[in-house]
Amino acid sequence: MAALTIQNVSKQFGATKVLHQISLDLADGEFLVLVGPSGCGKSTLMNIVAGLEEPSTGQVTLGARDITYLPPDERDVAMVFQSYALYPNMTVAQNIAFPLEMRKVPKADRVAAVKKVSGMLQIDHLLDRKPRALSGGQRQRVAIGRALARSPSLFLFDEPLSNLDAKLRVDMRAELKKLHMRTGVTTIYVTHDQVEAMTLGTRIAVLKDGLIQQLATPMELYERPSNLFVAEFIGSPSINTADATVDASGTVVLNGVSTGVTIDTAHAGKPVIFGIRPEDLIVVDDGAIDATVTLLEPTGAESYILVDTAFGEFTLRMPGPGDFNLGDRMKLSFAPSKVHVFDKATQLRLNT
Amino acid sequence: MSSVTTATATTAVPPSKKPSTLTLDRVWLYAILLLFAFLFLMPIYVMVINSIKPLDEIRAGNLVALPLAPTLEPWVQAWSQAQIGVQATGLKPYFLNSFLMVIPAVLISTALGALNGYVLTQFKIKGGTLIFGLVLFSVFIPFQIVLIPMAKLLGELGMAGTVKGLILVHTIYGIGFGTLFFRNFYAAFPQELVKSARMDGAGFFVLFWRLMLPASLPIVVVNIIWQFTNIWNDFLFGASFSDYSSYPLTVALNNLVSSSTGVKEYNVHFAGAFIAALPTLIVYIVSGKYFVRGLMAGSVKG
Repeated sequence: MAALTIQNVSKQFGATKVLHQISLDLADGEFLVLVGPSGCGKSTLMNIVAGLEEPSTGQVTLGARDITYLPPDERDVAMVFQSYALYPNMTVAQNIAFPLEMRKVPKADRVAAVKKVSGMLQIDHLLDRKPRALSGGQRQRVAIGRALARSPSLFLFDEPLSNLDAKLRVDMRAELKKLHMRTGVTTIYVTHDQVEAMTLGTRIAVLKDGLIQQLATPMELYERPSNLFVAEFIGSPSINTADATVDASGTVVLNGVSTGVTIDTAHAGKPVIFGIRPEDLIVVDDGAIDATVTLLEPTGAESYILVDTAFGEFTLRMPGPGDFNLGDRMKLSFAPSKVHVFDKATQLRLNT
Repeated sequence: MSSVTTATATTAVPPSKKPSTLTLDRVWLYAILLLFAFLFLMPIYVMVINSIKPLDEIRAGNLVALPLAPTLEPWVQAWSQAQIGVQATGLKPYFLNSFLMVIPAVLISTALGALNGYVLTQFKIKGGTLIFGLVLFSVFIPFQIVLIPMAKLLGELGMAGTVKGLILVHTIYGIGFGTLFFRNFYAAFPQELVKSARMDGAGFFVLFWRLMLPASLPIVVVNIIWQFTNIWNDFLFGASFSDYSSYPLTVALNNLVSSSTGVKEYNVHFAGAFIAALPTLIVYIVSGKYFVRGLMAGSVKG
């Protein structure tokens, strides 16, 4: 267990810059999720921490050691891969013991470690099987077991759940969280799934084009996204957006109607983007926005209602089945405190 | 329940007939397959049949007829009595020569090919593509071109006319193909497995020995069959670089067939040719299914 510091790390492949001056600080025991669309550089950053790639510039320190140029096996870092990367010719027990064997741990200690880890992950009945005789979820457990067995200072997870089916993914997600709470090992977790990011992370770093867009706790990320990309990436269904303007007093005006949100008058007259989360739209008799229901998406516990408005399609989130029919007309409103305003040109957040 | 039964009763559809499996297309297919099987098996039939006939029956003229008085004498002759070298030893010592040549040459060239493939795919080597291109070049160089330089080299090394010399020549030639096979196979090897093993602390040889090699059975078999057949059947190098004591079987067979004095003993020739072909046949029959599988693996994802 140790703290991790990434300082000004950048990575270049030929002329393409994949990472731009990334700096991150992880406290001991923290669970950081790196999230972003494919090609954002999250896996490259993880590989640099793992030692599988060298950074072009910058420094990585783990605990009190500079590990920037250490070979991967000397870093005290364990990684779980998306494909599980189990050794096909070895049994489960041999797989879990392999990193210990490579570190010349005596046989008796290896057996004890395998026993402890397999008990913790409930895979002790599978120890003599080969990976090909295991289900996806079981393989995932073995991969985690192999990483756990050597008790590393840092855990890396590279999209570990994306090969599992939906139900199993939710179960394993919860187990990973429990596991982290139990072991307290500092963890970096890469995913493109924002739900995984929100549920698992103590903090989340949203990456795009090799830059950290925002680094914050899950709730802060959701409630105060620092730019339009983060606002749209986090949250399902996605945030509703519409073009708006700012009048001379700094009030954001949507389709000629004041939204009640004021921002710095320096932005007066500039085009901005108005954003509101689906659950923050409310149906009231005297609402300022006219809307017509065009699609109903019941999910059981809640329903998503797509409506047409004068400035495009909005989505509402309603508890239960939602008492609407296709073609229903309604008026929508919202609390000004729930509104997000972004600069149309820079896409940065403008309201506090 | 009742509604279900009425539903089935009212919607009862007459069962459609199961199509007959013997259609005209099938008949054609089998006819053509049988024809080709016949074409390929005919020479083997002729060889076997005539190798167990007394010489008079062959001279009588019908090569396809079954033997009237079958005998194993020609096989015994070919194996241990025919005059090939200075002494009448039959093919036996040359059969041994071929094995002494083929086994080390196949094993060494397979091992080196696997190692080359591993290095070329799993490590970023400067100029790796160029090196691979040059290695591939050796696959395309005709044997004839290297005869004289190789003879000189073997002379310098003191290996001229020895089985050791032949092993060296065939190993060098085998590395090219081995590298090609293994490189293409390992190019499709999951990168994450290698990364994982490196993080777990596996070094260069441990990774190769514990992880890559156990997963390479199909391509190892392909390479062994390929090299075995090529080296076993080679005549040019055998004829050029060996002497009476170190002839491989192919050269001995040639001597048996072409230089017998007096009567041509065709039945002995047939038996000898069959003896020479047997090891490659056995290798194919035993491991043929891996051969096809390995070729597919290498070619699809190469």
